[in-house]
Amino acid sequence: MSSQNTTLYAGIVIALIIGAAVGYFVYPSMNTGLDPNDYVEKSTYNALQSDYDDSQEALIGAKASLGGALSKAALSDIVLSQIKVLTTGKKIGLITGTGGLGDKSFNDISNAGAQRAEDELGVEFDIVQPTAIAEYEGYQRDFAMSGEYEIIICVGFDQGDALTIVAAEYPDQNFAIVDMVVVAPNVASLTFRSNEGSFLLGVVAGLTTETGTIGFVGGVDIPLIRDFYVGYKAGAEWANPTVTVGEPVFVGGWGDPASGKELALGLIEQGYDGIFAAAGGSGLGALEAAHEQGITGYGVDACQDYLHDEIIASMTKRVDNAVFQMILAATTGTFQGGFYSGGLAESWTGMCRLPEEEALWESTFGFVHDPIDEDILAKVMDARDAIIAGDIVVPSGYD
Amino acid sequence: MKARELLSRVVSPETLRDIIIQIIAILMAFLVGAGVLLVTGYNPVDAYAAMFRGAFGDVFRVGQTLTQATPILFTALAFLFSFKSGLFNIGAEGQFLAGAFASALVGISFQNLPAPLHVLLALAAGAVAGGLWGLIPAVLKTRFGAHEVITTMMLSYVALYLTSYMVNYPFKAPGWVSQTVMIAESARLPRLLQGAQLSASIFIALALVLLTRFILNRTILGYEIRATGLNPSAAENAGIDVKRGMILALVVSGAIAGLGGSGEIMGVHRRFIDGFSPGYGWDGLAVALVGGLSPVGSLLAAILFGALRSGGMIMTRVTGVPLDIVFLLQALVILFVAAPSLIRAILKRGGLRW
Repeated sequence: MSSQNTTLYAGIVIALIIGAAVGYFVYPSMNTGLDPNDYVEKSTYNALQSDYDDSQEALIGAKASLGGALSKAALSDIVLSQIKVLTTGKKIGLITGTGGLGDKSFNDISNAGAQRAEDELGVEFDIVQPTAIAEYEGYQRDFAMSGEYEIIICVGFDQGDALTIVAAEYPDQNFAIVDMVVVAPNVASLTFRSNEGSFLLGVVAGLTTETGTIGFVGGVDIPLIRDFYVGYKAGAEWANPTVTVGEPVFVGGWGDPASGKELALGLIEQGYDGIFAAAGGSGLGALEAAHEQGITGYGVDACQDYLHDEIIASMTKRVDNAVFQMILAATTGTFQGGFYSGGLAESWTGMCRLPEEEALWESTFGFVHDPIDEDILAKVMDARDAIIAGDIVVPSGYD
Repeated sequence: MKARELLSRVVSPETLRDIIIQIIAILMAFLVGAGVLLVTGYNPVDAYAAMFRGAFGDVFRVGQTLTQATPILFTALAFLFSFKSGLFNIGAEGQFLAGAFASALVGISFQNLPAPLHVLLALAAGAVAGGLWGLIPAVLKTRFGAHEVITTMMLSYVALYLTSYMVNYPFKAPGWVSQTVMIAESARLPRLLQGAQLSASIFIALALVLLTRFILNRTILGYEIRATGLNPSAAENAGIDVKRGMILALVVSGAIAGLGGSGEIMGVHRRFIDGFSPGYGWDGLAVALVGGLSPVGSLLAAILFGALRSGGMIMTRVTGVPLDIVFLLQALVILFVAAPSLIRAILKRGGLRW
């Protein structure tokens, strides 16, 4: 053992000790107590609380009409301002999927929902971005262990295994998970009726096609993805009875744009002139093929229309709305674990060319849509109203 | 001066000087990191305090730190073992993954084995797989003269994509996630803290610290390996079989890394998840260098890096500082530790003579 080795590790020990000493002295100075601006006086609180109680009836009505989830749309501004007194300063946690922020998809949309809660409800939110599936459990437990968070929102189905473990360890902690079902009383499983949004996309595709043949490229052949296909097919056939919607093709993975492109090129060769890609990263390849061959492409999850001019519409999963509603429920004490399913009526799924969505996506991604044919849009709106009213029952990929 | 005299009895003046240089290197890394935090609009005191609390705040956090330190300790030992024979095995990542996958396979393949046997079998599989992954570059080196830096690195990617294929297709568990099914209960290493991921794998790592130290310093094999590393032609003239030494060093190195992978699978994740390693193999190289290429030094450096990672998790949650600062700090530590003469120069300018 050379003396140099001894020195090197002795050095590290001493550095750690110095670090410990610094931390020991610095840490107490951080807990400076509550700032008067951070809380309301007890009397004010009581007055507002009774106002709030009065508004509960309105809230309950709104809740009932929305399948258990609160919707901002159903709440008057007055109610919202009173709610804000309850929610301001409460903390919520957000754990993104491994793609992290900047994915222009799920993670960014979830973050947008939490941002909205920060703006409108005054909640504080802490966000972490794990880089590997194996890190989820540590982050979830860390959030839960701190006990500071009204709700911890986990984005992405691959957090399910970890959450099953952690949610059982912390039964008093509320969780929500996006796009996955975790059966635990303290977990809200947020699922999306993708078939309904895809139906609207199918309407656009059915009315836009010139060859009368449109197709679908999926990521993996699972019910979750079949759900997009059956909705899309039904919508296209509802709008245009003569259209042929080809059998779905599947890439077999989410991160394989090259194969996605090959499959799409194969379809285009057979005369397809509209392709809906619901395949994560693999779908980008399919949309690339549409762009190269000059046929119409349709995106998924977020508005992907900014990618190429040929992509004229995308089915959207409004994770932001679902996340916002869960935050609202958790911070007002109305959170309930269980299975949540949202579609067009709840604004949990949609289509990016709907008037209420178009501007949001354009500002999010910094682009401007080419105008859409007014007759097509009118037909889309008819379909949406009919689905919400229950006049059209969209078939499901889970059946 | 009394303290100094006392110290000089324990360590020689040169040693003391090196210790101080090492401390300054680490402190300087944190100082520069603080500058970066300031410039990017974060409060470095808050960030470091949160990081420290996250790394050592309570028993659970210490457990998290050690959990993070364990895999990089394995890969650091793997790197330094081959380094002593003059070989740069920078492919610990691949050997780590090969070992992890082999252990996972053994873990899911048997259901009714007695636990001690199953654990031993899975560990052995990990060591053998890692060792084989080290044997390939060793053979390529000794028989065909292919440089081990290239081959070990490339084989890391082979292992990465091969295991990824395995868990995406032949061994994929039902469901949407690319992972195997859980390994049998009997193949799991016990966890040491309620609710934490720290597992008995750390004892294997600690045993390996002592073992590598013993082998390198106290055995004929270790002597031969070190002699080969210092001067291969002189070693050959002295009658040492250099090729045999190189092969052995790479195989043992691979086996150590493979065991690290086994420990992660059997102790922490209990299944092979695609992409579960955020680059433990590469980190191990840095840890070995910061630890002065000694086993005990690697242990301390691994704890430092583990603390950065587990502390970083709390820091990013509490203060919103991106986790990237942790990787920046790691890089800075390496940079300053690798440049002791820079620190000497700085000390000199400050009027201190060393």
